Amino acid sequence: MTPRALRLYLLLFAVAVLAGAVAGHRLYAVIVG
Amino acid sequence: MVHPRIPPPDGTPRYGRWIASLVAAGVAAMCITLVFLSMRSVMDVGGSCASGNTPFEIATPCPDGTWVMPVAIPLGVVAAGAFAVLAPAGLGGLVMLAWTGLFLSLGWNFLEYGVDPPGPQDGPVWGWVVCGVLFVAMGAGPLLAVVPLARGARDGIRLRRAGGAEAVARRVAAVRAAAPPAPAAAPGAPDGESPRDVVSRLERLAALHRRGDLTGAEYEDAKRLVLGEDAP
Repeated sequence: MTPRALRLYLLLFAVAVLAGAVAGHRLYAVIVG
Repeated sequence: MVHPRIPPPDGTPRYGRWIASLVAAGVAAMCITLVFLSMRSVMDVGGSCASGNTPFEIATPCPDGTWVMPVAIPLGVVAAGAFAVLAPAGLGGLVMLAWTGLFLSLGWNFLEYGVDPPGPQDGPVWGWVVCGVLFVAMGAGPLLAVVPLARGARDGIRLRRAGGAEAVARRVAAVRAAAPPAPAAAPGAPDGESPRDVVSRLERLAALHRRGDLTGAEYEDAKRLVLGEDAP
């Protein structure tokens, strides 16, 4: 993996984790009404 | 002219696996968040509850959303496992962050509710505080394992940079050896290659350089090889 690809992947990883956390909050809010 | 197919360099991203692993990471993060919130809802009612068809009288019914926890835990484990399998080579160790995130977030719940319990309870609830300290220790431990992982990735990049010129030279030499001989060599062209061969290889090297697969030094070395000059 090139340094550029590694940086891009780690950035996308952080975005995916944050998006998952936000989705979890919203989903839980929907579940509990 | 048809060139023999050059195998992709080891670092070529496979975007399908990238997307799948990132989706798995997102699902794992979502599950950890659901467990975190579900645990807080149970601790809001004192830390224990019951529901369902039971012959006993239920003192504390479970709040809405409690069922999320036993669903999110196995789903999160599957998502974390999928990430470990699908992540690019050398990055599967990032899955340890799921363990860290889970135990640090649940440890925070124990500490927060242990220091300031809900309802009429006063003072610290030492059982929860002890659990919080244990969970934080369990969650922070694997972070120490992530440090060598990051060092390994950094060293790998340095090694790749150091050996990159040699690898490119090998690939170029392999292509040159495998290419069929040109029918008529133009005057001045090295090794009997036609000018079109040289130009197409230079274009390919330039494309690799633009894409970031070759550093400037690697590109210059490979270009000298293609042009028939002596590489350092």
